[in-house]
Amino acid sequence: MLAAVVAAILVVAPVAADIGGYLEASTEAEFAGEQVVLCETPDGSRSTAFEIAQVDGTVVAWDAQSGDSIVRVAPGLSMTSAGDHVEATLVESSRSAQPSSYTEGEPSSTSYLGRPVTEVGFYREGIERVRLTLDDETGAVLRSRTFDADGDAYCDRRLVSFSTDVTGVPSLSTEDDLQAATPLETAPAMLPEEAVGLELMDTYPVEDGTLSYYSDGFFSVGVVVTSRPVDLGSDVVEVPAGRGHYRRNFTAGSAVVSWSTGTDNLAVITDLPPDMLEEFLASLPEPVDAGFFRRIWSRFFG
Amino acid sequence: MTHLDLLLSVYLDGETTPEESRLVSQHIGECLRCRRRLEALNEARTAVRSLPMLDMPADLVPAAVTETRQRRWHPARWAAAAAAAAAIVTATALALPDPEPLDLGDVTRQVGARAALDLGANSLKFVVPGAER
Repeated sequence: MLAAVVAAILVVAPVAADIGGYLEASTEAEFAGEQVVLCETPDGSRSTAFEIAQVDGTVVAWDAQSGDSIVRVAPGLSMTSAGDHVEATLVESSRSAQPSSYTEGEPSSTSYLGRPVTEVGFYREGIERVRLTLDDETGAVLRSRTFDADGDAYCDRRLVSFSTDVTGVPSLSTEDDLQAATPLETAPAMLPEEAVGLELMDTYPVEDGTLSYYSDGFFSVGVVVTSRPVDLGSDVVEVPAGRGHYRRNFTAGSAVVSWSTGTDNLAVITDLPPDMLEEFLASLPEPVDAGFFRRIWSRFFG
Repeated sequence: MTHLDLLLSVYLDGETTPEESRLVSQHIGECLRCRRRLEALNEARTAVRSLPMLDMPADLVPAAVTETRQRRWHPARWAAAAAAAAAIVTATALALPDPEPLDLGDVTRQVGARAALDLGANSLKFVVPGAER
């Protein structure tokens, strides 16, 4: 009887005691299922659904309906495909962000998708920012919710089906030898070392500019500084700010904001909740819409 | 033979040194070209001196200065030239091809790859098929 109780405790107990521990344990889980992402953004609701699987520490997500759009993410590697066309990016870094600015709330045991799970919230400066639902058996993150400062849910990513059978997962590979992007020694001087608790981790070269990566161990921000124009596609909302405009595009799971400082073009790609995003943007050079002569100058000299 | 073109005019004005005067006298005795040039200069000088002297109108200099200034600094001419230059520069700029936009798909992929190095949050971040721009 005692052995059964101990065994039961071992099975249902959370595998780690903080957000870093939970997330680290979740990388070892192997599962497949359908994931739904629903985000309530300042520009309206954004949602999407796709199949997802995690095998050998690699996540593969694919559009079950079209079947020709696949994403594969592994540490340092990201690959995307559209039809037969595959793009891959490999990066190197000697640093790893830790979510040390978060404190753990009281874990609670409940069930999700008919499975025993542990639900736990993580707080930054007294505000719950992340709530994870973790499968007790595998450690997999079955659901993650992020919150705005006022407690409203921002993004809800949840599996709506779950299986430990990972057969039939599409593969994605490229025959090209990938050249890993290595960090530059310095970041653009206009960028802060830290903003909203996110630390500047690495800066990489991109087309005619740089990409600086910020993280607090959970949320991430990529800041691009480039001389090239940034095209956000359709569904762009312009917001007046400074002496110009932000142009932003919220999608399910991430947001992109771009603007001009008058001399450079900046773009931010992030999963930050809107209030933290606003605070982060305030730490960067403000928008300045380029005047006529500046635009003419740019046409000649970039 | 070296001719004395410049010294001849000075000689006629009586401003040569005694040594220069001797040189001119000796030279024109030997050089037909310079002797004829000296004669021509002398005739021209005499003709100019024979012209009557007229009083200069009092407003001639101010009027000439004003006209010169108007010709030199006329704003309309400058504006026209500047407009033409600006039009050429603008037309050239517009004729240049648009700079190619940054490939956000590349950048998003790079952010996703880097984020995946941090922790086991892979399944939670930047993983949305079909979202590439």
